[in-house]
Amino acid sequence: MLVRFWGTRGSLPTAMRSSEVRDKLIAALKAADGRHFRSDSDIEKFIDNELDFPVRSTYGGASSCVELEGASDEYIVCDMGSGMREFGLDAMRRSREGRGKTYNIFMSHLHWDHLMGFPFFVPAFNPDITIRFFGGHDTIEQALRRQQEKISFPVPFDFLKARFEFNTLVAGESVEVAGCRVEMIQQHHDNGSYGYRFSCNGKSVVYSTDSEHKLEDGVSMQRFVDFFRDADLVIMDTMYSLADAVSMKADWGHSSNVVAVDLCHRARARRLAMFHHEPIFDDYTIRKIHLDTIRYEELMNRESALEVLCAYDGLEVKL
Amino acid sequence: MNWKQELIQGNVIVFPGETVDHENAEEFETRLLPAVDEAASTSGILIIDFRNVDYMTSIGLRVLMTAAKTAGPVSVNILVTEMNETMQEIFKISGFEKLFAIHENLESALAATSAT
Repeated sequence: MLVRFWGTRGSLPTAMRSSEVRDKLIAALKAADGRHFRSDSDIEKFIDNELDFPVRSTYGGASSCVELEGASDEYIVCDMGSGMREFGLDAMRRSREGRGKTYNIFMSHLHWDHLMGFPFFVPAFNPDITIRFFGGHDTIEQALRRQQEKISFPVPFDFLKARFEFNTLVAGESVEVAGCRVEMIQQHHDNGSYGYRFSCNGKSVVYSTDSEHKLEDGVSMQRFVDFFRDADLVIMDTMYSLADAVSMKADWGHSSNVVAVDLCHRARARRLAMFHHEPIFDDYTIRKIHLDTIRYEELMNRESALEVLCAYDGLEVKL
Repeated sequence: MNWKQELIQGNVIVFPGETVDHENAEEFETRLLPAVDEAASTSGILIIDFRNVDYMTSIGLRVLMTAAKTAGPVSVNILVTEMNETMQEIFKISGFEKLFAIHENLESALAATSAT
C-alpha cells in the first residue's frame, strides 16, 4: 500500500514568499562553505545528506488531499483541498498509461479547504470517468454544486461530464471499496467531520483530520484508540500546540501533536503522519514542531515505539 | 492515586505521588480542583510539587488547564515546582510553560509567595 500526500495544509492554502526562497539559498550556500561539486550527483548527495529539510525542501502549501494506492487500479482519495488539482493532472497521466478510470473520494467534511480543489479536477470533465463520493454528510453534492454556482465560479457543476455517485456512509459500519475495507468514525468538528480507516492487503491506514479531542471524555478517547488500533499509519490533524488546543483554540475543531502521539501510543500504531499544518507556519516552524514531537514520543514511549513523520506535499509513504 | 497535601506558610501545597495518564487523570482532577478551592480560602496560592511525578500525558496536562481555568475566577495563583527533566520538556513541547509560573524547587516557590 502506498500513501501519497498532495496537500497537507489546513484552513487555507499558502505559498512560499520569494524572501523565504532567498533565505533557503543563503542557508544552503553557507552550508556548502565554498565547496566545489564535480557533478550533479555530488550536488544531490550534498543536498540530501547535509541540508536540513527546511533548507533543501518545503512542506508545501496545498490544502488537504491524500491519495491511497490500495488493492485495485481504482483511485482512492481523501478530501479535495487545493492539492486535488495536481493529483488530477498526475492521475490523468497514469490513466493514459493504463490505470483505471474510477475515483473513490472520501470526504472528512465539507469545509472549504477540503473542497476547493474539485472545480480544478480535470478528470471530472471526462465522460469516461466515474467519480464516487463517500462521506458521513448527505450534503456532498449540495456543497459541490454550491461552490460552482455562478456567483462563485465560472464553470457550473452541470458542465462536468463524468459519471457521479454520492454515497452516505454510517459511522461504525464498513464498506468494501476498491479492494479495501473502509470504516468510518464520527469526529468532533463544527458541523461534524469523519475519519476513515482503510484496510487493504493486510495493511491499514487511518485518515483523521479536523478532529478535536475532548481529553476529559474518556469514552470518546477510547473510541479513537480502538479505531487507530495497530494501524500501520495514522494521518492526524496536529494543527495546534496542546496549550492552544485546550485554551484559546478550544472548540476550534483541531488537535495537537501531543494528543496524536498519546493516542497512537495507546493504540500501538506504527507510524504517525502529522497533518493539516497551520498555514501561518513557515518550513522552519513546522520542522521544529516535528522535532519536538519526535522528542515527545521518545520521552513518552513506554511499550511500543512510534515513528513520527511530518507530512509534506509530495511525500510518499510505502507500507 | 498517591496524594499528599499540606499547608505551608499559609499556602496550599499538593504532592501528586505518581505519573498522570489516562488511567488516573480523573482522580487527579478530583484531588486537584478541591485544592484550588482550599487555596481560594487561604492565601490564594496553590503550589503543585511534581517531585514524585515521572511524566504526565496530555490528559493530565488538560487537568492542569482545568485547574487554571477554575483558579482564575477565584483569584488563585497556581505555581508548579520540582519538575524533573522529562516534565520540563513536556511542559515546553506542549506549550504549557507559557501558561504556568514554574519554579525550580519548593523553596523558591515559597519565597516567591512571600514576596507577593
